[in-house]
Amino acid sequence: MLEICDLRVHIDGHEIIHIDELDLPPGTRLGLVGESGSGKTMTAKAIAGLLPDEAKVSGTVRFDGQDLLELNDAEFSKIRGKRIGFVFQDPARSLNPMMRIGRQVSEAIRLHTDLKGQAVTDKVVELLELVQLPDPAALVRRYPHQLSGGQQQRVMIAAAIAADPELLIADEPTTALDVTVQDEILRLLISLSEQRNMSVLFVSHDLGVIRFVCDRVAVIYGGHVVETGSVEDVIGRPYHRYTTALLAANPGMPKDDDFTSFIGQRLHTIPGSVPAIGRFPSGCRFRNRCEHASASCAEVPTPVTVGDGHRYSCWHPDGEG
Amino acid sequence: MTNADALRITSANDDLAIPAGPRSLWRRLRRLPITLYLGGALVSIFVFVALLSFVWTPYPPNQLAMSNRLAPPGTPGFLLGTDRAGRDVTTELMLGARNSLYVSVVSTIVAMVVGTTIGLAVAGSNRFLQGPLTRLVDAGLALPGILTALVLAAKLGPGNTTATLAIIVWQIPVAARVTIGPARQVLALDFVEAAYGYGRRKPYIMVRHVLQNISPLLIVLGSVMFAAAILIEAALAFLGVGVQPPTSSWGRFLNETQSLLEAAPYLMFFPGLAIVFTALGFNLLGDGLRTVFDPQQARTGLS
Repeated sequence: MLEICDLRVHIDGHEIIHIDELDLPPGTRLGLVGESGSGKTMTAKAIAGLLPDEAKVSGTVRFDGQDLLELNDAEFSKIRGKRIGFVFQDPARSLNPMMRIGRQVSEAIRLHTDLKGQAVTDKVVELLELVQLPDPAALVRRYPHQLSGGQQQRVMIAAAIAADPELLIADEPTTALDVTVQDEILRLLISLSEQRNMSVLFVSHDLGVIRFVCDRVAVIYGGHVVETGSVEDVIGRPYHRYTTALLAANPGMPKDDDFTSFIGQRLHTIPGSVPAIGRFPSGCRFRNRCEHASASCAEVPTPVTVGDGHRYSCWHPDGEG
Repeated sequence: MTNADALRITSANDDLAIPAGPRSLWRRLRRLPITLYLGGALVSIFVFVALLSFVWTPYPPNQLAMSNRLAPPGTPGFLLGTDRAGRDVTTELMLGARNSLYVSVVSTIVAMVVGTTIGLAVAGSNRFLQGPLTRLVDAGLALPGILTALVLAAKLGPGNTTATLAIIVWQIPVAARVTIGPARQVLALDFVEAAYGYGRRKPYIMVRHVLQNISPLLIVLGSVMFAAAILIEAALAFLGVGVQPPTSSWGRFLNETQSLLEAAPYLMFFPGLAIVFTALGFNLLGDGLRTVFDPQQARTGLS
């Protein structure tokens, strides 16, 4: 479905993203996980061709056999919205405040299908029903500010899947929502993906969310995929030191749901913060924050495959004594 | 409980309907700024008088009453008196309003359409062109308007068309410059990216999303440009560049009263006040509309 090969994004001469290899088979849900500034959103936008003009993208992004990066703007806009849907981070900002809900959901339908007039409205109502919004017939005439955040994100999802895309890119779709709503939206995404055999590229900083939604995961740091594999493999048996650090920084659920057991315990953190663009160290990009870094980390680590598509790039993987 | 059921309980759709009824309408009208009402009233009077002049004036246009030259205000039959040629001042003012309305409507519409289009094009142009193009519009703003009008008059001869054209040339950079900034702000918003995500392309986005979201600003801009057009029209007519006799104009009327400063000093107040109140009306209206469209004001005003 989606094969990324040697994808590089340059801005102002700095290499922001460099992804050697990343695959998304049909019907699978791939999670991109990393801290803020790790390049996960940039990667998602590079795939959808939504990066600003000043970003120079090279490499290949093969979608259904076609290299998306070779397409011009007109050709790409025939795929975007039709075969690749995009759900954005903040639903309140991603809906035009001056446009009715129905009109916004129908954008992709009117653009990419032959439906006209009442048929478009019917399809919109059907979509709003599909994303489990109450009273869809009345909803089409409402404005975004009349909806709650969770309802707005459902509208965004309806708009993104309006033209039956084969791939849905969801960029932190639940970050702006509270936890109970997050759960509903995630379940909705999973069921839509299963009903329609739709691949999902799911961007999140939350490993728990990724584990809940995705089959496969790619851990991104400094624009590089440092570890990738099935969710069980990567979270169950992480090798890369960044993955282990991310997992250690997640408090998870306490034993027997007894949150008092957290009292007095220190939460593990990753020292320092993600460097600014162009300030990453050479070799392994994580080495200036890594507790296990040595002189050999100045060399770019070679990828190691440890099983069914489980791959990492680290000189001192976890469990190495 | 299914997700849909959970949603149904939390959804507040029914509470969101704007309460209807004359009482709430009255309360909402009362919260609108006073400038809106004042400006609206002055502008309405102006438009009404100008339109009325097409069907009725106290006397036919340019009817001279030589025996009644420079009659003072209050003379029976001549409410505001007569001018040097014995024309009824009320009739003159009504016809002047008509000319002002005509010139300002035409020039403002053309300048708004052309200027906004240029502004949107500049805001949507690529990042290398944007700076130079914006400076070009700035250069247009620096054109001295009256001089432009005089040059045009020298080329085309004085008249209403020349005045209208001069106002258009003068106002286009204003409309363009005011459009560029907000249009760029809207272009940076997330829903524009979402529109790209649906497969939309730039020209559609510029019109359907950007233009729509800056439309409140353009309405305010339009009313302010109307006021400017009325002042400029009067100024050009005063200088003799605008409309020519026998068509009436406030500016030319004002010019004629100059030579009567001793014989009938009160006469200059009629066209002068007409110009002042009409321009004031449009400016107040623009100010009121700005208050209405300002989201922060609107929130307190409509909550």
